[in-house]
Amino acid sequence: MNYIRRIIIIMCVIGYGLPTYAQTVTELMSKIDSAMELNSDITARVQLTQQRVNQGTRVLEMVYRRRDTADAFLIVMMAPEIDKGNGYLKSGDNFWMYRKNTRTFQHINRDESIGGTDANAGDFEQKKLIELYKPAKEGLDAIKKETLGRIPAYKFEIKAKSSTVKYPKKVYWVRQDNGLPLKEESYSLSGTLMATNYYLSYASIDNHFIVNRALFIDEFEKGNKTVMSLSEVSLKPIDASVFSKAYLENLSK
Amino acid sequence: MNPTIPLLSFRNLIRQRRKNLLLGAAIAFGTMTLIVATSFVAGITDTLFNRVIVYMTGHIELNMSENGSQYYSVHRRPELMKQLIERHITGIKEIREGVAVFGRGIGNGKSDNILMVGVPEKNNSLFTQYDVVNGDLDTFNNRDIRNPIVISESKARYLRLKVGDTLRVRLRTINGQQQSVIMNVVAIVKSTNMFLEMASYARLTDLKTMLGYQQSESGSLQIILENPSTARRQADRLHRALTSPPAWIQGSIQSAPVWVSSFKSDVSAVASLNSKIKVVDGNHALTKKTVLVGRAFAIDHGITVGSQVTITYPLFRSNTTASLDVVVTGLFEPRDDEIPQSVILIHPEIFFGAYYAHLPRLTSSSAPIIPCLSGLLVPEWILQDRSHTSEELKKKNQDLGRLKLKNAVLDVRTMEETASNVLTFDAALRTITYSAVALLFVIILIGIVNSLRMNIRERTREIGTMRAIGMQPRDIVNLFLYESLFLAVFSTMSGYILAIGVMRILSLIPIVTTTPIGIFLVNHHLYFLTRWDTVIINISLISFIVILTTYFPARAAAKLECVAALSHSEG
Repeated sequence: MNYIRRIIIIMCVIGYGLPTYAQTVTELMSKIDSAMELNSDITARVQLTQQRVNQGTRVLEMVYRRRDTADAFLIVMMAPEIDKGNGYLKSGDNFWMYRKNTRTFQHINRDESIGGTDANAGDFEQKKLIELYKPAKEGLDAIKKETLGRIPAYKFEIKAKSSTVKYPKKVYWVRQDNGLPLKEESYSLSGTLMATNYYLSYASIDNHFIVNRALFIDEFEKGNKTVMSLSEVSLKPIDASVFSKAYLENLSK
Repeated sequence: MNPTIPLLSFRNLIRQRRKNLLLGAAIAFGTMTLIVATSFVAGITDTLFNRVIVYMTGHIELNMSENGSQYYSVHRRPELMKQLIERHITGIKEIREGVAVFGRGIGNGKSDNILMVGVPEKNNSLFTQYDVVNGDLDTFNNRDIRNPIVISESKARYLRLKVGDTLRVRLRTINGQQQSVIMNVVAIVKSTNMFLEMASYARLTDLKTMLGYQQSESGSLQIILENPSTARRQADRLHRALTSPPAWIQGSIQSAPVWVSSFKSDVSAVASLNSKIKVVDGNHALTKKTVLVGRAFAIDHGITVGSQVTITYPLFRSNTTASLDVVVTGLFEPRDDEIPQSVILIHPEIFFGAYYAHLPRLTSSSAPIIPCLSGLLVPEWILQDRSHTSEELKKKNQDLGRLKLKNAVLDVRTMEETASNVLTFDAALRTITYSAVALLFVIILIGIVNSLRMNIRERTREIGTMRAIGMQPRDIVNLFLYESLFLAVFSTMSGYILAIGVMRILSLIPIVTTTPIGIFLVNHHLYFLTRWDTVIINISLISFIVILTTYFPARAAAKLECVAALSHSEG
């Protein structure tokens, strides 16, 4: 279930839209971390259009609710019909997968594969970029000015601080005016480009910038890509009972 | 012994040719059925133990996981573990390193999941289980070829690969990092068993590098036994010997020797620890950031609460040192004289982060014995309880993931738990086979017994004649016993020859299946393993039953008076 990870990634990119005067990579990383911090709750309807080689296109719809202060999120599948009512719940260190047909919760361990994909529960742990990565270069040439499309951007490279970080190297392009990420490349241990994420557009809600359209390209398995779009975004408080097993179970009654 | 009796018996056997041929055919058929069935079951067991489980998990497996990971096993000091194994396990055929990974392979325009298994160089007896379809297995050991891979014919066909092509594989390292590698296809093979077709093979050294192991480290340790049936008993014995002492780092701060260890963080252990030491300065609560230094040592070396200290320690298998930077959160005074001032106590989260990443050198004095801290310090590994079923093992692993332990966890498993599904299937198949054979054999045996009894009854008048001309009752009994013995020997031998022929014919029939039964086939054919000891037992058993069946009616007939026997009528 790579799509869950994609949702987490995109929902993390929620910016305040402050002008960026960053001069160092560390400052730019801190800016991204700030953008990922969300003090309020968030609810959104997410649509994912997955295109996989030899498997055609698949459209998934779900409702996503997140509360960073409790390190919790809830995903409830709405489409396709076969998955409707299934869900994923994270609360602190615990991560469960709920299957409506059997009405069962399966606890997923940190390194356990989710649905046989390369995504695992550890991917959903909230860690700051600055804790996991450090600048690959220091000095003046660490940040390059480039134009991505027509948008002026800063390009910089970061490398993992420890050998336990999923992607040992990443390259970011962030907007020069407000520091919001535009593009992100992730590299494997051997230096192969594995994935590219494009953050295509942001919407402004209650002084927050929220990515409402993104493209994820699997660079390893060419032809696999996912387009994600958000709608019905709300930053209103969510009742605490939502992030519970009982809530998820009750939805399918 | 009178040689006339056996000669007479043999003549009688030939004289009653038709009757004895029919009887002999029945005995031969029974023998054949028994030999074919036992050979079939022996073949299944042999396939299972020597072609499936032995490559899957070994008969006993030692799995060491870190950070609650169930994905990889990492033995940081495999040589020490092997010493323990050799000390406590008997009849070891081999100890293998189990290094394998599931990844995503990209061939020529096609992709698929791929299981890569590490195979030691120049000792790849595994390949004897395969026929080479294309390429050369010798190139697998050629160091000039980078990342060679041997793949099965079916996988090569699906990924559209041929020898000389490259296969790109995405995988996850033991630390959870994304890795991509390019493998060179050096051989395409066809396995003798469906189970083995699932795997592709890389050099063990290459696979270790790809996955982030040091070459001196190992994946799971798989023990292959001479006698697999002893696996569970031996695993239990080994388990009892694998308790780990507390993990210590023997290092130094400012050249002053220190002993660093980690305290257990559960409530009862923390309470016990607080009764052994008294935190006199700094944070009294034991948290994930706790670093406690003896007060006297701290004063001597100018260390205060909040000081950042560097602990330097020699590395295992290396002449270099590693350093662990910690911030002191408290100073303690021992309540017990056994605790030296040079002991530093650290939370497992900090301690094991350094311990496994940079394994400390073991020296004879690296583990101070402090009885009062017994049970309060964290061991190098936690030994899991033995599980006896797959369900127990699964539950144990799930619980382990939830515990989020920082230190390594060692689990001793046997094929009974790890491959219980295969073994259950095997047991069910064996039961069905033996039940069917037993039923058939009993029906045949009743027919044989009845025929033998009738035969003797029909010949009662003949017995009377022989008694009338002076033959002793004992000779009469011997005459019939010899007849039965000859009949049994000729018939069972014929049954054996017949069984060989039937097994040969059955093993020629190709069986193409994708069901689990496929793992019991060898090269898509039934596999029979005929063991001499089993054949001898089967033949002896049938011969014994035939002779025993003859003995009692022959003895009864021999005891008859001549007149009574001569006047006996079947009418």
